Amino acid sequence: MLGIALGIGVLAVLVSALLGPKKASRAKLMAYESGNDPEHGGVGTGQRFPVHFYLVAMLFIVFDIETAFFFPLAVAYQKLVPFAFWEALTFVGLLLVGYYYILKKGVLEWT
Amino acid sequence: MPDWLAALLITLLKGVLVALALLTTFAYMTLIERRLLARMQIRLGPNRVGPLGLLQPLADAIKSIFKEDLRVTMADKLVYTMAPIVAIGMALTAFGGIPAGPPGSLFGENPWVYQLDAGILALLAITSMGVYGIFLGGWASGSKYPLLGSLRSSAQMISYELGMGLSILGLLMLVGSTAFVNIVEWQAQNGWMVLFQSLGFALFLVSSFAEVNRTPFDLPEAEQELVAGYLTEYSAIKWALFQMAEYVNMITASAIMATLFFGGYRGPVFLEGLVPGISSWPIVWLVLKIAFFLFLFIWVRGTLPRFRYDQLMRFGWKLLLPLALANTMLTAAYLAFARGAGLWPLALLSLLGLLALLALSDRVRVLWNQPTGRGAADDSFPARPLGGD
Amino acid sequence: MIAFLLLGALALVGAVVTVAARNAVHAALGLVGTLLSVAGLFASLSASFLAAVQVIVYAGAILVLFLFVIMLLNAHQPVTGRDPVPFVRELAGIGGVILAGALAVIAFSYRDPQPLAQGTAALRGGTAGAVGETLLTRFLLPFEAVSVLLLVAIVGAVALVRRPAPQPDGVTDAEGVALPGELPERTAPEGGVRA
Repeated sequence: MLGIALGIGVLAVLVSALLGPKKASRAKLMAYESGNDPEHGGVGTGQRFPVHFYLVAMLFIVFDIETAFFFPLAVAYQKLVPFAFWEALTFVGLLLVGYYYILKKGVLEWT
Repeated sequence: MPDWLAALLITLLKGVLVALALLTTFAYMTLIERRLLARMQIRLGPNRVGPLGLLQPLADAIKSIFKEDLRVTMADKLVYTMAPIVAIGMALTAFGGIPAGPPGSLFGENPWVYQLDAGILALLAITSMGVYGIFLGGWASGSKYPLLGSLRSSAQMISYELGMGLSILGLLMLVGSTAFVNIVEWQAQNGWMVLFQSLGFALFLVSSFAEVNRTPFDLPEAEQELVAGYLTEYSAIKWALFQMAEYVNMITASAIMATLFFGGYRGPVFLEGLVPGISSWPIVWLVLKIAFFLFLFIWVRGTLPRFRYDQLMRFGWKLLLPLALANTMLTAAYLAFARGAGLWPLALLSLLGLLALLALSDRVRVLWNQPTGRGAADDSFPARPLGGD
Repeated sequence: MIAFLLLGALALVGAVVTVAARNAVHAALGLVGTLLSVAGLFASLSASFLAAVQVIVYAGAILVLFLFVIMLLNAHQPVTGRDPVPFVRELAGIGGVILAGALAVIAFSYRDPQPLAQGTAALRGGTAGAVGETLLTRFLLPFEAVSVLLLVAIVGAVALVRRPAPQPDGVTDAEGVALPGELPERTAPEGGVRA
């Protein structure tokens, strides 16, 4: 399926590259900056980004791992109740402490 | 012909068929969406190309193939070309795992392209790869608006992926399996999952809208702020491929919602009285349910305004995430201590939770809009009118 | 077997790209390829849960973080100049040779005490349920320890990006996260040009 899907994508790009007109000009190939000449050159030079995005990605990993651990727990859950409930509660409870921490630190605020 | 070769050929055939079906659906989806939106806004929409505008998608396709394929000078050549291919590749791949009928119901073959035990997990995994198409597209353009757009939209997608993963945990607990077929069969026995997990479904629905970047979460394409987000420097077929990926993702999301919460490929049982065996016809029911959700996507687009970015992130992290966890723990507690009472009390609890949320939506909105950090802006900025609750 | 060879080759190609690419983003993409191939290997060994988690966590989360960090540090360009640590290349070379030797010795001397079928039977198809049962019974303590670890990770991540307190009384020290230019429409005057 992946092969077929990627194949369709490659095919579409190839066909279009063969059939489409090619009349490039300097202005046409300039990066779009509302009609101004683009400042700074090229892919990601001289641009920096809010550290907040890094933080979100980091927290995403943490909660993603939590989810990943929770999947097998959820699937096996009914075989192991009520013991599993206390385990899940401990697990989630500890994470909620962390959640409360980031909440209080204002990490989730986007001003 | 040896067996494995035959199996391989059949799988290939099914894969090609599914891909073609998806692309056709995508093409007509664009037309239907434009017509419906036009109707909602009291105008006509495209109706010139062919009767009722039915040839419009064809014209669009031809146009995007024959257009000049620009590549801005500052772009990273390889990645710039790769990004749309990755996007469409992942989008099309995801759909193949969804069963359109019970095993062996399609002329003796299984009505899915591939089947992994991980089922919904594998699908979540493939969906999580979708973020690369957008991120790389924006990065490789070598231009500022796309970069900002892609960064924003990747942050959005990963944030809501959490909500998506967490909101199905309650469902997994009930079913005890991740395979789609098992989930559908469980629903055939006990009733549709949306009854027992209405809160989970609401959360999943919202996350799905955010995952596929649709209104009210279409921040990546916020024209007023970012021109066209990660799509700014794309043209012709590559642009079309990104568009295609978005719509195919929408179809997949609809299929997942139908399968997980609305009985999947099985039809409602009460129709059995009219036509015996109607509820186990393959494909028909899944297609109907997908069509319903696709309509919902369009409807919402015609109704709700867009979120602001800070609202979007707050919504995901401060509302969706805790609620999904609460839903999980509610289900867990119920299964641990009151399983003997059957499933209906749980359905009632879940519904009550959802209703309480809706009734208190004003209160909740104020709560989650309030900054929680010390010294983070003033404490009393008013709750703004929101796109959706 | 064919799948194994193919995926193994793909993983190696990805690894080589990771090491050899001059551009940090290309390197990260190579790593994505490797991780996906490894996930494919897991799936072909019928450890489907592991494969899914490999993709979700490694390729879907950690590599996204890598890319964000590359953006953040503006590290796409190849770094030129001398290595800050002396002899690091030589040491790495020696380490690599030793590791390769060790792996070769293991590969050629290892005699599987259990037949493969018996080994994989314990996995019971590697489904999430089987993993869950083992996780909640035999590996209970590590499981709960993970949540502590994640808690520490949260605190660490927040602490890392905190700005040092600007003034000694420290009233406004908490909001350490700078967000310039996040919301164009809040700062921009009304009636801007609309596309």
